[in-house]
Amino acid sequence: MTLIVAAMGLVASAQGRMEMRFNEVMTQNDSNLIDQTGHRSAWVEIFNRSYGTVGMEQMFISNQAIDLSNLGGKKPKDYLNEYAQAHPDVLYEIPRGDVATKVAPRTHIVFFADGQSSLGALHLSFKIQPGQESNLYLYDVNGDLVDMVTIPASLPANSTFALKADGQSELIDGKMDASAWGTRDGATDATAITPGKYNVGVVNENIEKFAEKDPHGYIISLVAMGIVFSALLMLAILFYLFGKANKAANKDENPTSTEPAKVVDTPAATGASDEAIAAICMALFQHFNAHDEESGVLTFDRNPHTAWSDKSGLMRQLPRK
Amino acid sequence: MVLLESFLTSNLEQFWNFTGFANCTWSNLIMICFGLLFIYLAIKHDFEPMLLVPIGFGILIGNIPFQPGNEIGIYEEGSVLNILYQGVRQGWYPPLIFLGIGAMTDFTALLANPKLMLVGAAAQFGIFGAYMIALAIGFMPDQAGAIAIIGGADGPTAIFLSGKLAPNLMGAIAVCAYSYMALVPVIQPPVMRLLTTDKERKIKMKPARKVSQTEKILFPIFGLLLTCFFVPSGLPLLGMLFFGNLLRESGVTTRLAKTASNAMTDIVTIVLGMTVGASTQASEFLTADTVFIFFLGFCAFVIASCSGVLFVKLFNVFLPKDQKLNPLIGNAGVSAVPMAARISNDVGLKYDPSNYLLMHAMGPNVAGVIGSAVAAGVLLGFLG
Repeated sequence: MTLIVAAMGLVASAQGRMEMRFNEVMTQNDSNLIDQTGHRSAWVEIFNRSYGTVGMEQMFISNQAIDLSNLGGKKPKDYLNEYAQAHPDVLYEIPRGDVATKVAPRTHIVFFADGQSSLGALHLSFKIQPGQESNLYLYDVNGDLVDMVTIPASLPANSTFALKADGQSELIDGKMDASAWGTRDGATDATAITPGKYNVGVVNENIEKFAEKDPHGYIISLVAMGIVFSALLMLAILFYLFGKANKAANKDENPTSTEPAKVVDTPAATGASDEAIAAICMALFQHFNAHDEESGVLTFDRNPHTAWSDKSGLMRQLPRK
Repeated sequence: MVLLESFLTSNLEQFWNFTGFANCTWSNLIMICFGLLFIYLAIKHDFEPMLLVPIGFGILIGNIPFQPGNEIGIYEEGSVLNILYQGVRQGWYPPLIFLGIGAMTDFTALLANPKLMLVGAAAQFGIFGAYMIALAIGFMPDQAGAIAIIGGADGPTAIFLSGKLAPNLMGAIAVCAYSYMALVPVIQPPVMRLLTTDKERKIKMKPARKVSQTEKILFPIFGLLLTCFFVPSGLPLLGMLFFGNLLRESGVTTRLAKTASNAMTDIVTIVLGMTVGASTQASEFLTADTVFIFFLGFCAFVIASCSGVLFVKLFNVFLPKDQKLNPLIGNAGVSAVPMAARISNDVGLKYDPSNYLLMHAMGPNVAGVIGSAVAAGVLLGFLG
């Protein structure tokens, strides 16, 4: 059982990792985000678009596609691991054990692409060269491609290449959907550069929409009542049919007899004590679980005289000889 | 000596500043009076004591004045009350209560006469009637939805939805929902009498057919699949409700059903009631919004009761003469199990002492529980 639960946990975690998306990238940073050492460098923002915390440890970020078609019998994970050690300027393995790489649901994580992974888990082992087309790939622990982005060479300094809506992109045949991306220069609120924050403000569009389109609530009321009625109507029809089928089945199995059942014996007739009869009734109630049709539970009238006050209870039944 | 005196004075002054007397405001006292009223109604008049005692005492706990910053109050992060309150804020308690309700509820009456499910659906008009009134008053759609769910007459559902849509109004909504549920015997009978004729009140319904164990087992399974495919956002409530019912009806999980319906429900009811009560701190509770919420809650209950009764009358137009429904069971569609069904029975008995409507009213009553959870899911789906 424990193994099953553990396996389910691993599957859930893997599903979460597949929901990570490159969200915003800056290739030349002269006036933007500063790392903990006080330096500026290119940075890569990744968004966890799932509704669960994702641990990114042992995932891989690369600046070129890794060919995993011919691994010489190695597991993809081992191959990538060795590749990352041999080519840190190409592939970075996110180290284990750093809580900073755990990404809360619907939040962002920012990596500095400064080629100095010794500074911490959030520093990639490679750099992104400004002024030339660059690719970024995100691989899952087992080598599955999670996401990729191609940053155009024309991206100006201190501007970012970012998703138009956070996390809203899907790979098409292993390539990014270019229409989901755009350039942000920070000149206006709409094009603000937002490392670690949402690219677009989070608003509950539903509420705005209903406030505008249905100010009196007629539409939502009609639709909602329609749904409530539909759900319960279908349930009613289904159990009406079940009831019919059940009735028909019982008719076939037990043709109704007009003869009353013959009483063979009763507990009282066998001379059973009151306690025994009460126990039999209780057992029958438990067995048939009679619900609300009939209570069937026998109760005892509490005797106000307890053993403390009842003198007869204190007397011996037979005097000691 | 003078030093000691000034030391003592300053310490006593500091102590005084920490006491409730120094921090007390009129609003605290008003709320404490409300708490005492709830406890009085529960103990003296037996109005939903299982709920009103914990809520009433919670109101006392939540309105003891104190100096903020010492991790005491329910809204102070890390305080014991705040930790217990997370079950309300994050919505853990209501689904657990629903698990218990499912394990306690016998759907036999509903299965014997499945058309009664529609009465449970009709009573949900109360929710949407109140939603429209709330919008007209000026509430935003999410707040209006959270307030309107009071019309479902289902405390856990109201807490669950308000926790998601309008957490700042949750205390008032929960207290309002439970207060009106306790007042069902006062609110519903006049509405029922107003909308029915003497002849209608004396309609005798056909005795319910016997329901097989197979049907009882299939109901929670198909109930879950059907309702949650329609409204996945109702999954936390409906999923637990039907799961609890399957534990009860399967016949092989009696121990689990007993725990869910007894010990677990009791524990959750205690912490839920107490924390909801404590969440009504005067500063959060005594606002104009609360007055509107109580007004809207009343409207929602009246509309729900009216729509249930009127729907049965409408339904009777299409039903054969020997299968007519007594409109007095219409009010039971508001859930409030089993109080609303008991009201149907009591009012029915007043007009015909041999006309027992309790089991018939239990059908729409439990359908109302499902209906209000579906309605909450719909609102959450639209406005969440």
